[in-house]
Amino acid sequence: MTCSKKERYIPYLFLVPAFCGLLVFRIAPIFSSLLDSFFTVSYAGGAHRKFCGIENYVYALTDPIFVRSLKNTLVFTLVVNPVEIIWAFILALMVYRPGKGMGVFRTIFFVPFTISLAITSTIWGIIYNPNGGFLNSILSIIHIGPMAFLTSPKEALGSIVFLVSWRCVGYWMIFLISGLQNISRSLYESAWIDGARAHQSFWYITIPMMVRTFLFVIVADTCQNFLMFTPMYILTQGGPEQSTNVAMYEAYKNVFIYADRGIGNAMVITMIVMILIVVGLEFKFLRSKEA
Amino acid sequence: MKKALYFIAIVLLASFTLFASGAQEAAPAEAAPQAAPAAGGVTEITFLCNSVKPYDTAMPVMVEAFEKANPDIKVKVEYLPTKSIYEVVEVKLGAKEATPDVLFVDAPLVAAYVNKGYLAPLDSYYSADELGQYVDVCRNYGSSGGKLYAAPFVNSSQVLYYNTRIFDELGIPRLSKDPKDRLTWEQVVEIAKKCTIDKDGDGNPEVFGLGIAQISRPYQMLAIPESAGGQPIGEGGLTVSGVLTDESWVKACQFIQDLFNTYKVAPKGVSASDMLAYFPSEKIAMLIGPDYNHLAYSKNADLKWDYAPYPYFEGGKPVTPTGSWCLGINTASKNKDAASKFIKFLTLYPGCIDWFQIDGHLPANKKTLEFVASNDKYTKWPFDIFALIDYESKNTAVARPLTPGYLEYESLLTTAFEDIRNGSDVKTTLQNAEVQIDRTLRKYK
Repeated sequence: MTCSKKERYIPYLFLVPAFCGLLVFRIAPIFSSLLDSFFTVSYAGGAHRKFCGIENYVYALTDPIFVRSLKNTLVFTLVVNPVEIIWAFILALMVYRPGKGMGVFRTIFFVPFTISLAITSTIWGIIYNPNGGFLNSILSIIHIGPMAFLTSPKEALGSIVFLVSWRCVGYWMIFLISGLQNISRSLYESAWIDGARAHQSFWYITIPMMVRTFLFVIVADTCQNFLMFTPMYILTQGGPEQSTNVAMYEAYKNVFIYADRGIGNAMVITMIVMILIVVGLEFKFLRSKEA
Repeated sequence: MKKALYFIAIVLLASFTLFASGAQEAAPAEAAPQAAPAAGGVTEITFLCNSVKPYDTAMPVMVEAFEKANPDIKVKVEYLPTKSIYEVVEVKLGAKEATPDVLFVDAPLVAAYVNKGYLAPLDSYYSADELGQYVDVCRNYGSSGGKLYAAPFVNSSQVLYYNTRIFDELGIPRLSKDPKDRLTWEQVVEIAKKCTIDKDGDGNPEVFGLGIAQISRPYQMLAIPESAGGQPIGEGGLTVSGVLTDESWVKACQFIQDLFNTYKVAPKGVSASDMLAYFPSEKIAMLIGPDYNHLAYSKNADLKWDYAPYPYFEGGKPVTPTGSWCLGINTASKNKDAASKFIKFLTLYPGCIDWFQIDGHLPANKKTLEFVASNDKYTKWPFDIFALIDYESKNTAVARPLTPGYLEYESLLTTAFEDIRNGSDVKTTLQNAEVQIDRTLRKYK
């Protein structure tokens, strides 16, 4: 059946509203940030905005605080990604098959994600309180000394990794359940007939068939974790000793506290480039593994 | 492939058009026309107010009284915590939005906000008599270049509150209220050690000896290095090079660190907003805190407390924090006349006295100070605290540094104090803070 010239453009017309939203709220602000990153503001005798070329990028990349925050962001992402995805996959494997009560367990695992990150951070701040917080109370019952959690530079980032993972694991589990349920049963039946054991079916059927789902989850999780900022803002303000200062929080401070929009935008653009590089590498690695 | 290229070209063109149109400079804010009253003749003004106690409970009373006296003006109050106020001001007033019309302005930020064009001058709304009502030092906080930009709303001082029930149980004698007999920090530590109680020996004391109200905030903490002889900022207010790494700063900050990590008489991991609840709930025996807390404590029948002068370092000089909030009008506001009426209602006689009686802050208005001096109520406990804080504001008060980069200075110094509290190396932390503060202040040179 051939389409007329007019009919060929109809699908694009349906895409226009979503495209406009994407343009206004995603693409245009990126270009605005890019433009702003080449300007600086001087407040000597009133506010003066002037073009400064790549000066803001040089400042950001030679600022030891921002460089440290980039390192913290990378470490945070490299730790949280596997923790969340492995944890979500284990939960997905436990509950993806239809059965009595499975829906209840899926709901229980998903519930933490329904709580906003700000509220989650506040609640975990109380749990982590070094003076009689919930966790230290439990530790004292089993005769273990109190832990510093968010007040220790060695423990603070790990504490935030745990709370973020706890909240988000249910969300990624949903995608992984969908991926698992899309694997044809006939593949497992054929393997069983050929004498494959459970672990062989898992490694040679489940994992390869899940590569596309993993690709989506890993890329989306990477983007989310690179931009993670709320728990640091609410609980630690980047401390103690810059151990939880992430790039997004550093950019936020430069724009909204130090009134240095140009430098803040340069930091954001730097982060966008980093995300594109990391996501590109993930695509390259996982695409080559696709069944 | 061709179609894809056309598609990308359209996306880029549309994006450039969108952000280029958004990148135009807004019309000068001074030219913002004043809005006519809405239908029914009522003007609505938006007021950005601090949400911490006692403002959250005291302000609705004053707003109701103002609206009754001015039926043609309605006040819409937006409450925000201190830190959020700074950020919202940068976002909204930086974008030259017309609201809020009236805003809380922290005294040391007046110069910075005037420099950025956020605040409208107020002199034209006042008579000479009215301007003369403000306490001189408070009026200076709110002025820049000889013009008033932010009306002084409240002033502040600090005292040492202590729990008399805990003191009596431990046999510690009551403290003198005479500033000449004020305790040294060293003496405070000795008392705090006695008051720190860990009944079950689990390393988590049920009662700590000492708490500091606005912990890690420069408003609260600067008085400590200043008592040891330190300066808050370098000459010209645009550098801290050599200031924070001075011996007096290192000594004072080491003392602060020891309170939490060596003597362990003060609780770690408690934010400034949570610390306010620690004294009335008897989790701390002594609190270095603001003057206005006395009003809340006097209403708490279960709390047995008293007060003493703010401590100082032996061999150093007594220094107390001071300064507080002013009220300013947004340059871009379309309701400046109505906004000025509201500000004058809150800060001038007789509204300032009504405010004082429900809020308890050290007054920024001379008529309120006269009211206190002539009223018998303020010669009796606990309101006799005003005699002490009046003395402190005249003899030991040191204002926060005036610098156009105060927000950056405060943010970085707060981080440094918090790191010191959590046990980081004092000298290294102060060195890093010096470098960072100087980097952020360069845009004001």
